[in-house]
Amino acid sequence: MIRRTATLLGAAVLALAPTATAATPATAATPPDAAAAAPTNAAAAVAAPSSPEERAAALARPAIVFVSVTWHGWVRDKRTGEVFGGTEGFEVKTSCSGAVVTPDGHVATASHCVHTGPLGGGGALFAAAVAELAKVGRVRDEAKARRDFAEHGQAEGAVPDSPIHRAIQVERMEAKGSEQVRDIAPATVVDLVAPEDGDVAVLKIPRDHLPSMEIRDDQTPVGTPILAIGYPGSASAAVDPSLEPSSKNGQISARRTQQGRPFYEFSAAATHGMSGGPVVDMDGGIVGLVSQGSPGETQSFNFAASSQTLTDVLKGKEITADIGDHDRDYRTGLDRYFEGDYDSAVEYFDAVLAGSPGHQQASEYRKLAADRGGKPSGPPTMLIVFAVLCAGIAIATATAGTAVLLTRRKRLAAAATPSLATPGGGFATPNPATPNPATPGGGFATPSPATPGGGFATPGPATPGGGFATPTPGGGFVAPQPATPSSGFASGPGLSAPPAPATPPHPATPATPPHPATPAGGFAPAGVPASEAITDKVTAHDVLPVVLGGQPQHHGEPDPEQTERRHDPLRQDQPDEQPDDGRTEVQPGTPLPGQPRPDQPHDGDQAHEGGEHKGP
Amino acid sequence: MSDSPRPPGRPAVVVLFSVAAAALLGASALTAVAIADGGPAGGDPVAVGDRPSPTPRTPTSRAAGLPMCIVGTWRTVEDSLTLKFYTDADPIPFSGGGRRYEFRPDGTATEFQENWTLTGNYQGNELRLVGNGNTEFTWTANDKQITYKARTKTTVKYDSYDQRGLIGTTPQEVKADLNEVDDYTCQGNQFVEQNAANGYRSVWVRVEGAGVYG
Repeated sequence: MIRRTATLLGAAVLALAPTATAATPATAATPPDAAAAAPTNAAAAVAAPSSPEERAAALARPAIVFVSVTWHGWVRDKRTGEVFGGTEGFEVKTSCSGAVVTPDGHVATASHCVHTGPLGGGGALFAAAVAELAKVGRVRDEAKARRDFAEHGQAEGAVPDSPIHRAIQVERMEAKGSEQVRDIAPATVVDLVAPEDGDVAVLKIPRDHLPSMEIRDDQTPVGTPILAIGYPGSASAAVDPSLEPSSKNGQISARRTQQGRPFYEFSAAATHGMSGGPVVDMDGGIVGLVSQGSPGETQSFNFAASSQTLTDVLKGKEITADIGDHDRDYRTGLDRYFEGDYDSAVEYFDAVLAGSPGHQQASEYRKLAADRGGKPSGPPTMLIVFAVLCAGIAIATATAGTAVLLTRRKRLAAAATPSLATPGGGFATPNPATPNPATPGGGFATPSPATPGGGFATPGPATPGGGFATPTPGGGFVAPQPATPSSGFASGPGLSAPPAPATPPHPATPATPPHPATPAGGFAPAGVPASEAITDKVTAHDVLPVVLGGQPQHHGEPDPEQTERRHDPLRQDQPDEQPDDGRTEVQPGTPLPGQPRPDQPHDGDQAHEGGEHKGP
Repeated sequence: MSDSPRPPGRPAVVVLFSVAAAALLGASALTAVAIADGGPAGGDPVAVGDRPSPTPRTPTSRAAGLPMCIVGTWRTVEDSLTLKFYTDADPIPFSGGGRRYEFRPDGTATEFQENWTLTGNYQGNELRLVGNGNTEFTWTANDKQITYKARTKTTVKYDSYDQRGLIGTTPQEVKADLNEVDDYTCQGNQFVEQNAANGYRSVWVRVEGAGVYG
């Protein structure tokens, strides 16, 4: 993850420098192998797709298959009985494209590619007969002749009226090591709707763990960018035969219906051979299947059978069209690759190759990712390592903090004087009924006699060295801190004897404003004006949290008004509540009147350690 | 002033707990990310099952039909034959053209003669043979020879002319055992038939009519 984040950051930086990135991404028309051969700065380059079409093509290509059908039969003119095809009959080979829609070998294509009727294989045989008749001069107009046969002809097998023979093969390229091999599988027709009634067929090939494509089963809006992918027949005539599909970009031009079945008109070029190939959106989902062109129109006026028809056919056969885990891994791997996260990409492509052996594109992109520095160890491992590391740090520091805290408390307890001065206002005691005014409501007591209501008291200026329960002016966690000159840990010659509290040990009510906290003589250190000391302390400590996990204050929940009212008394107390670093300078001041409570400091610690009370 | 050891500073505790909290948050966040980014869904190698290959088609055949080239409609553009015009003279070579044939794929055919005229010469005199009528016959052929099996029906009559004018009319006869075998070649729109035994040769061209599509 760290590496990925780093690479993403790198990508972001590179994105700001177009000159640095312009040469690196593969273009939409560049196949992965070509991209691999292109000189790139493997260390710095991010293989972001140059266009959405490139990503869509990369997502779709693995599932594109070449569908070839060998038809065999004779053609009979039903009017004359003349049979064409001789003794051996005609053998015609047609080619289409298709897309694997389930990993276990279901292939979607156009039904006219596999249908035996005049628009399918029968038509192919008719065409063969027409071609043969043309050679002997028995055809004036071939198109019209084909129409004649479509109307009056019969394609049949060896026996009159028997079906013609159809051998469907689905071909795809597979990676075997560093080589690419052509896998040819026989296919059977699972179901189809006639070409004029939807033009969708589903085939089955005896293969599993195949790369497959998602089917978009909603209506695709007009204007949606699409790619028509397939194998144009003319391409193999122009270049060396291969199974590299062509991707033609365009968009959905219109939604049409034919015999009530939805079709899409799209603007991408599509030629013979691309029939049955998928029309995909930019997320690689099948929008439709290339169906037919419009006679007399340009190549950019084509129709695609709707994916909804395909979905219907699949449902009719109770086939669940769902891609496999390896397909999801491939998509993720591609995304990681395009993001520049080559380690993760390699990991995902490895998973793809494990789940779909021979996955050509995964093999190609894995090589590209590896060439760009990707290694199989993936980010999740790093994440786990870092998570464990952080957890260890958390435990260690929490343990250390607790240890320090306990050590500190023990030391404070050991040095504390066993008395607690309770302010006269009685607000310092959270629970008046509790004989130990220093015990907070919860079990996480602080040395201070009063625990703030929020349980997360801030060290206030009035805290005499303990620093756990403090009055915070204006805050919701104000612990009405009595003017305790010592919470039991203050040491010094002047405090060796318990000072008298400013108020009687049992305060009247918590609601009483803490005005009486100020003893007659105040606590201002000798030589320091009370007002100055107050100012300094408040500034230094009014926001520091000192209690973690404290309990809410149950009594005397201060309201803002009370908090405001406490300012003055606190400030008056503050000179005695010196912070740690100034504690040695604290002057004992005037001892407070009242009876000492030797157990009060202990109560605080005990409560802090579990709420056990040893006091009366 | 205090004689007791100074407790650890509060800031240290705060820092420690803060670090602990931060590390805990970090660990939680990383764990969450690791869970969310759980790695590849697959990964376990799968066994590749049987991968059948296409099997070749079982050969089938059908009885040979009549040559499709012959089927159709033809018109003779060149007829050459030797006929015995006079009973007391040797056969005389004639030539002409204009017959029309319709060869059907069921092995039947019709010959149409509409003033089909053959001309010859005997001792400086022009001879003419004019045929009119239709002939139904059956035929078969292989790739080299055509056999006229039987003349099943005919309305053809031949009128013979010499320098004297019409000298006779001869009706054609039905002949079930015709079995006339001629050599032929058929290429495209041209059919050439000949019989070396009787000097017959005929060149046909395909014309509009039955057997032509489109």
